[in-house]
Amino acid sequence: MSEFSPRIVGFLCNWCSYAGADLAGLSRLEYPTNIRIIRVMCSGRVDPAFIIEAFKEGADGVLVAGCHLPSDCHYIAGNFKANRRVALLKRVLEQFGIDPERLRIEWVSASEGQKFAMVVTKMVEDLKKLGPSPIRPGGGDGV
Amino acid sequence: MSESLRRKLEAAIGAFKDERLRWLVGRSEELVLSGKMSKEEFDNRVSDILQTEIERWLILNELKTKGPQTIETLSRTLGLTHRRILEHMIAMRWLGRVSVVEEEGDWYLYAATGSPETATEEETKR
Repeated sequence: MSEFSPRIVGFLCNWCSYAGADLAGLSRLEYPTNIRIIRVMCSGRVDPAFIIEAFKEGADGVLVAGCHLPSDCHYIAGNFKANRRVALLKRVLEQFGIDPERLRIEWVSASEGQKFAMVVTKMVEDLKKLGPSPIRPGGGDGV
Repeated sequence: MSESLRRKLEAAIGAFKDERLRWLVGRSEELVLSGKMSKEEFDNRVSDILQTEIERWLILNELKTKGPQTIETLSRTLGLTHRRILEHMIAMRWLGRVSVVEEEGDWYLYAATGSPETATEEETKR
């Protein structure tokens, strides 16, 4: 039986985290290929419905990454809003029986390629321990 | 398990469309920092609204997919008490999201009026 390979949907802000992910690639840093990145203009643009939809469609984890708190956001307070929404969503997921650790918010700047690679690697390791999402029992084959 | 979870997630997507909730979450920092409410009070308020909306969307999605149903049937399917569903029905009738279509024995049969998507728009107009 093949090893469980988690599927992660990553919402990355255009200005910091996406550039950070880009830097990780340009720097030839190695990190797992389990993440599927969706670039958004700001982490504050990530509607809670996007995250729930990702889980509904079978994602094992969702990563929201944006500019560092408190003042790096290009749109002033988008990262605060994202932080608040994710905190709320974690409570909802817990109520539904989905481990809140499956949803993460991280602050990655454009110069932190190394950090981005570490965040993804750690998330994949943790998700492997948690196993497949309860919405797709026995799932997890392929990304 | 996965089917009931899927239903709950669909209801949560609907719940997050609620204007009250979006407004409250958007103003969270402002409200807490201004001292108008404590962080704990804020979290409890948001959780209450969210819980209510999720339950209402669960009911609406049931009525939309399976057609008109009684409170008794909904209670069995969704695992909510009769009283709780009745409270939601009273509120949703007032909001124009559900209506009574006929009677079945001692029970009223409720139906969703339009799709839940349009219900939110109508609610906003009120």
